[in-house]
Amino acid sequence: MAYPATVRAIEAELARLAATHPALCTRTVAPNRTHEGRSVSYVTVTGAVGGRPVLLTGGIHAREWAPPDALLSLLDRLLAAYEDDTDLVVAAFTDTTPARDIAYPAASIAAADVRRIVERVELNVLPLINPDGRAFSQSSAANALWRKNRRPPRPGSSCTGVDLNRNHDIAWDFERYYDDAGDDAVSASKDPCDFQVYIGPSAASEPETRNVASILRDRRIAFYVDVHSFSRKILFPWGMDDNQISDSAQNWRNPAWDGRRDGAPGGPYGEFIPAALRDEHMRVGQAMRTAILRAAGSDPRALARSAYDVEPSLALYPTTGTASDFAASLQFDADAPAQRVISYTLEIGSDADGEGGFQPVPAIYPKIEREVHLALMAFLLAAAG
Amino acid sequence: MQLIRIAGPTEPMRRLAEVGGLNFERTSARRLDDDRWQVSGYATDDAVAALRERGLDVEAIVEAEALDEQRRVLFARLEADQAREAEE
Repeated sequence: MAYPATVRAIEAELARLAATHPALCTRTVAPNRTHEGRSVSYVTVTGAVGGRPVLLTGGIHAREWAPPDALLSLLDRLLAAYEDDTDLVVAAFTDTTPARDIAYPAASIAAADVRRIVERVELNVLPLINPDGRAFSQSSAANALWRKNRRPPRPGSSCTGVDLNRNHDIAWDFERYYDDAGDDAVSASKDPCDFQVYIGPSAASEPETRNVASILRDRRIAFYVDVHSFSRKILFPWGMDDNQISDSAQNWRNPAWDGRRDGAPGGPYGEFIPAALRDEHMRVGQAMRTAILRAAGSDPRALARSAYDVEPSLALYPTTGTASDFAASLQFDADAPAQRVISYTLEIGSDADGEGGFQPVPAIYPKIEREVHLALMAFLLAAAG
Repeated sequence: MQLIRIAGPTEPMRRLAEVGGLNFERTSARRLDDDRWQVSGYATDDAVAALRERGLDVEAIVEAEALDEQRRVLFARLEADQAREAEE
């Protein structure tokens, strides 16, 4: 499958993987079709019953072209390595665009670790959450920066689409949630014509959002990564406000804080995260970061281009309704028995160093793909325990 | 359209969403010092001018011509794949 993959190629690759590895890999069509009538598929890989449920997703933002492709190639290599009982090899790559070539050596994940993952994890991969948006983004250069889905305009409006990563049912109604300053800064909008971050007419209004939520809930996902581009960051909850570990009453469900949350580092409100949960996110995130860095070799330029930051999602702009925060929120769901959920947004690649921002050129894509594979294999090993 | 980095004090940087023609990537925000941040995004010429009018620093990472060339390469691949799919 050639990068960047078309929507049809992604669906075909999922079907091929399930057909090639029927004992290990099952393809499921998610319950909701998109606004343009497309079905959305995911695969489940498991070598034994009772594995720890993991979900990897990509393509929630239409213009971020690399994540779905990298998720599919990871699946392909993981399944092949398991069936052949070999190491999973991450190929060497030489970046030929700078003044002097930068060599990234090959790396490998031991066959025993591949077995551990496949036999101890129930791995669900939904590589393309938003096929309508990707098809539109890939329809012409003028549409390349399209981010949202393709929800049709409301009567009387000409504006299309919802940001699926603002549509999940967590702090969705940001105007109720924040004070005026937080409201001004939040990366969310109730304007359907907002090109980037329209939150939709209601929480989980979008079929694509409900597809992800149903997998998270029905499969009781304990480890989740949503792959995005770009920023070389491994982000963990929360995105709504800065984290604090001392006051559990400061949480997104507490109406006593409505209209008083500031959405800024160091303000009077901080979103509660238990210390052990924060520490586990740091630990697993550091393992992902280290996996990328260790494979970069010894060239200082390669090391500088392989340094991912591990940090909470909130930096300058608070966010609401994201998939990663929603996944983490389920462990605090009063309606379901609590289980710990580890959840990340992995922001791959960079605006600089010729990495192409949202749309890396084919010449640099293998570097981006390597980083996804290395980070996610470290993540899967952590999930395997 | 070009790919740029924007830098400036916290307050105007928190209001970048007001600038038309700017598609900035929220997660690219990096703190430079106590009251200065840097954010990356795609911007039209008008957006670049508006950012500078707000007193923000703008640095081009990928100029418009280079960005157009990157898109040309990517869409050439896509068009070939889409044509093949249409024949199947």
